[in-house]
Amino acid sequence: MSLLLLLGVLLSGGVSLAGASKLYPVLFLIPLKDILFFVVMLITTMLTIYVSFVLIRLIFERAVNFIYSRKIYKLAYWLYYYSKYPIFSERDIDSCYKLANICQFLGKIEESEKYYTKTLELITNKYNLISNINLLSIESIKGFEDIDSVLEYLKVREAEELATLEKELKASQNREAEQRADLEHAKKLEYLNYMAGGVAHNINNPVGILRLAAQRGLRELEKELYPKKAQEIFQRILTQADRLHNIIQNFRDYAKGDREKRETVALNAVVEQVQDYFSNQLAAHQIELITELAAENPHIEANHFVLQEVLINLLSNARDALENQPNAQIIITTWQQTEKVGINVADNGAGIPLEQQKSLFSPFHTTKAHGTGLGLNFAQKAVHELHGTIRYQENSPQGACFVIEFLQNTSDNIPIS
Amino acid sequence: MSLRPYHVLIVDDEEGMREELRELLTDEGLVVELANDGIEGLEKLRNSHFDVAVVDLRMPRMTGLEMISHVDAEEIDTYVIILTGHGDKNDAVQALKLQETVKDWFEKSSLDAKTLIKRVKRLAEGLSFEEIDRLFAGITKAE
Repeated sequence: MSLLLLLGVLLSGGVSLAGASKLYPVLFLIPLKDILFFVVMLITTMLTIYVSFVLIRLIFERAVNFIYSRKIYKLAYWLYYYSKYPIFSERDIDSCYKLANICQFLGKIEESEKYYTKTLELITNKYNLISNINLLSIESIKGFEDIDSVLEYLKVREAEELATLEKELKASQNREAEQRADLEHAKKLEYLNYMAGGVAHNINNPVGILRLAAQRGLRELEKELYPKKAQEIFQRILTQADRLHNIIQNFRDYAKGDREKRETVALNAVVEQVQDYFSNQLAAHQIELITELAAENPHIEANHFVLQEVLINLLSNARDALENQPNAQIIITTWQQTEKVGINVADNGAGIPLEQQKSLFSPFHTTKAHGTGLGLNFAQKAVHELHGTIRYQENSPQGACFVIEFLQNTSDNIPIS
Repeated sequence: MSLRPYHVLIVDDEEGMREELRELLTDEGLVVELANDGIEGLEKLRNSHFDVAVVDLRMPRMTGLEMISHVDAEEIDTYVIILTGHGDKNDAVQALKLQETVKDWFEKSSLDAKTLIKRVKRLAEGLSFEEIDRLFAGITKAE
């Protein structure tokens, strides 16, 4: 309807423009081609006007930008100021920002603050910046050539901020996981201690009975002079009962051992005990456990249980590395040099690839399907707490070797165990 | 030398342990009675006189420690030797310090027959001498 009305209003003008030869008194008598001609003319005229506006705007913008880039701020301000509406709207972030800069330069502080604030508003509306709102202060966006530089700067800042946030998050996650692992370890120990108590009590009873029976048997034999063979048998029962008792005692000592205490520890004794625990278990995996103990019987000021745990950790790693390998061997060596003493745990497995060696001791580094990646990290922490170092080296001819090193105990009265 | 055979009470919930101890001590000429747990043990101590009681710590119904504290509180004239599994070594040491009746403790899993016999006999003798002292004191008073 409105279109028809418009046509009606513009009718006479259109007709005269077209220079139509005939005038018709009534609308519907105008021939169709004249109407079409009129409409086409109208659209063309409108388009021309619109394009001219756009062109003028573009040229004007270019000119103003040129003036701005030449730092002729006064003129630029004048142009901006009087052309803001309608040619430059405040929606145009770049213009808005430049205008703010110009005002800033010309000392129109209030006005510049206004435009900067507006710019900020436009930036936040248009770009979905995740980063901290602190990033978007007026101060932080001042002093750039144009809005592109501002946005670029903000993007960089945002990326940086995201990276730090991610880093912090990861660090806190790691910390949490480490704490969790520590807690689990403590829990396990507590449980082990509890178990050991029960196991000890349950086993100690039969062991006690065995001992008493064997001793009674021996006494009977003494009285009546039975054949020597029976004596041997009872003696063997007694010896085995003693051995059982020792195993339980070691197990229990380990479970409830005080890991904070520092005492003089003989490295050979630690290795021997670990060998006692594990040689059978390793043999079940077709792995031979060999120990080479230093004749000097090296001592350090440390904690027996912690050292044991470190060795157990390394042994269990070696065991995993040697799974299904023919002639698998683990060799634990204690050694003493002029200033240092230490323990080496070596295996003849495939060794550790170079790219993994760097992050070997960092937490959550694992190549095992079910590993926590905390074993070596724990070992390193434990050794550091005992003021020692642990490092990896290649074993010759093949395999991995972990070297645990301590400064030698200098105190004179070292007990020989 | 003793005037009468010494009486020993063995309190342990483990049958094998009880039997072995009984055989061992009877063989040495001691009169041995057995109790399954703290309650039974305490009952027997109240009803008849024992020179020494060999008491296990972990038992059902009434633990050795509870029983010993009763013995101490009721001033029953019996010396106690504690037997422990490895787990309650500290309890044994603690009891030895705090309870007057407790005179010694042994670890079950490293129990040495000779030492145990020696210790039981010596305690029983000690108590008997005290008994004799008291007896004499009674006589002198009566006079």
